[in-house]
Amino acid sequence: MIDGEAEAIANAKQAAQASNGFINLVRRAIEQAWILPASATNQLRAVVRIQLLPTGELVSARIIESSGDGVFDRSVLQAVERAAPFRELRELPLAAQSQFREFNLDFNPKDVRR
Amino acid sequence: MQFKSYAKSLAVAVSLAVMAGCSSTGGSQDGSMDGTGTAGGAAGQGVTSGQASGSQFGQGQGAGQGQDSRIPDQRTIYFDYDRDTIRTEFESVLTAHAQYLRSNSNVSVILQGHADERGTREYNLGLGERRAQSVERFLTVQGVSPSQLEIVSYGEERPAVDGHSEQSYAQNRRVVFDY
Amino acid sequence: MKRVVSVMVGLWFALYISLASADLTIEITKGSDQAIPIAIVPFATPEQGTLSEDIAQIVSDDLARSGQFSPLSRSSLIAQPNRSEDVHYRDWRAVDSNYLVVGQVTPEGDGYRVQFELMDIYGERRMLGEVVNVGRGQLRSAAHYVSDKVFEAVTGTRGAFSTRIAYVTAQGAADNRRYALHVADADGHNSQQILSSQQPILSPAWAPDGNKLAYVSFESGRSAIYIQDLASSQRIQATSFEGINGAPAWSPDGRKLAMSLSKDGQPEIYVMDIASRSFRRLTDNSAIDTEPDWAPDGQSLVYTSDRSGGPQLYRYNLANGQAERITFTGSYNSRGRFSPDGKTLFLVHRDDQGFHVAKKDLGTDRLTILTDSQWDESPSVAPNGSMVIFATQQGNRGVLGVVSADGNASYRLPSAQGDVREPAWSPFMN
Repeated sequence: MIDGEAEAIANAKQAAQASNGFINLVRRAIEQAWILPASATNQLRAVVRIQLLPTGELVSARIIESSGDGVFDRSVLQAVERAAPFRELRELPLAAQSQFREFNLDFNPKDVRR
Repeated sequence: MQFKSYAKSLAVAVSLAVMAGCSSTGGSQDGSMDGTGTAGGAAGQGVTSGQASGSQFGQGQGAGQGQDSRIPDQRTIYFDYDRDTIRTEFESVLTAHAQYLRSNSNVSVILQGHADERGTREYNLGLGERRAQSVERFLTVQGVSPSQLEIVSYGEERPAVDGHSEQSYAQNRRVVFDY
Repeated sequence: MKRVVSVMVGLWFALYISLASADLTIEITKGSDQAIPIAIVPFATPEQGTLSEDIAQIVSDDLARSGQFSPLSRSSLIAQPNRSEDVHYRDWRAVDSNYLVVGQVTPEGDGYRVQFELMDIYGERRMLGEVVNVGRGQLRSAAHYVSDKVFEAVTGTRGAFSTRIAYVTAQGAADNRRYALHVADADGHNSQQILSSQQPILSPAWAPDGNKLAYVSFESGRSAIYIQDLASSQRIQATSFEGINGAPAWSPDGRKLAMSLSKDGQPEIYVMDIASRSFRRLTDNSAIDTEPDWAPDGQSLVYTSDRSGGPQLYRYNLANGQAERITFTGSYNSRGRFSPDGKTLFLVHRDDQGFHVAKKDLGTDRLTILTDSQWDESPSVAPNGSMVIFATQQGNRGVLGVVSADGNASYRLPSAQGDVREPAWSPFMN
């Protein structure tokens, strides 16, 4: 019984670590691909919902919360498209993979100094 | 450093006075002009400045007798960076012009004020004007009628010498007597 | 013990659930400030090589100079479509281009019909499609128009490629100098001399309608301010007081000129009503007050004054007649120029390395140095606020430079005209 629980903990922990690794990877890839518009300010924020295939390829990316600024919204969609695919999804434990078939990206520039 | 150079120019001024006393035959005015030429070189104010003064040295002597009827030969005086104060070594030049203008009240002169290229152009017009005004004050104190004097500041627009060296700048910070 | 383990499993499970839930959100707080990749395909022409201008090249140069775009080199263009119907978006993803411009030129009447389209590669969408008709000699203008439209569609900021610049040249040595005032396209092409003199010319300033220039000329033997109509070349002498007549600056409504006059002893700021030729004196002190510039709303002016010892910028409120000093960083800040939105001042700032163009954020008061050579002066802002043209030195010669308002991009304008200085960027012309 105790062994079973220990194993469950270990699996869950591993899945969580793998998930965190994937999250960091997605974040880094998108931050690199996101060309901040010259007009961007830290007042702007947009949320994009993305869907991935099990292979990590992008099925769709759409704005679910607009910044109200067309240039900013377009820049975040282009960033997702440029950064995709996220092939490392395939390397996640099966259990973890399913959570990343669909998730949100919250573009919320904090380091913009203009 | 500043005190030192001041002391140096003071020493030059003193030696000039001595030279003026020794060499002058036709009046203190003539002697002072000679002295000014030497001072320009001795104080190390740019090579050309010294040369220019040097060439006027001889002419100045020749002009000695008719000083009140002839326009003084040295018609340019120089200024320190960002300053409009008349340097001691140029006071004699101004005195010569004052004397000439007093003696020839029908003659008028344009005092052209100039600046070196450092700084913005319109602001430098102001600096050039200040220098010319400082000369104007000197002359009027010496009895020259203001109606004989007009000021035109060119700022940095008409440099005497091109180039970005301190030597060029020293020659461009100037007031020119344009008769 | 067992209880603790169960709790921990519960915790991991909870985390698991939250990850699995549809609301997993990854926060993106940083981006890159790289230039936007854009592919500009050579425009189809009626007969290859017969056009005097290469429109795609001009557009590419315009966009590259803005610093906000990084046009793909021609050799990396993966295809040569000329209409959106022939564009395969996947091709352009493969070369990492965010945007694509295609177009064609066909003769029409006495001139040309220029058609162009802009595509968002990742959005797989045509953003722009337009036709312009231009006269035979106006292909460069057509190209700048394309640049303006592409720039605005992508960045959201109006393009300023179809604007003009005025500048002064000086040729010859000290005793034999010739000064001339020129007007040219913003990229330096199509220059025209509008005044030539053996005496200095400085401080050209564009009227807000873009049709007239005010400037200072010494042609009469002393300084005077003139206003010249560019189309007719006719001009009037606005002022020729004793002393300095300098630094003309148009009010935003074009009816007044602010200027510096020393008729009362030392340079003071005046506002002249052009129609009535009446003057209002704004400053009264023993310092040099000069280089006025109007805030875009016309409610205040900024000017240079050395009343504190060295030149610093002051802001004069026209409603209450109060002036306050606004620069405190460094011992030399002069010739302020407002950005079109009035939120930023571009100015000349001196530090240990020399004179630079800097900007001061009027909200945060922060001063940022934009240029790094030793002799940068005379900043003038593009009407869209994205670029600043200035005078600098290159190989002992005066040349014009342009720097982006964020300082990230800069370039020099080529010139064969001796010493070039005193640039002034025109307002929008259309």
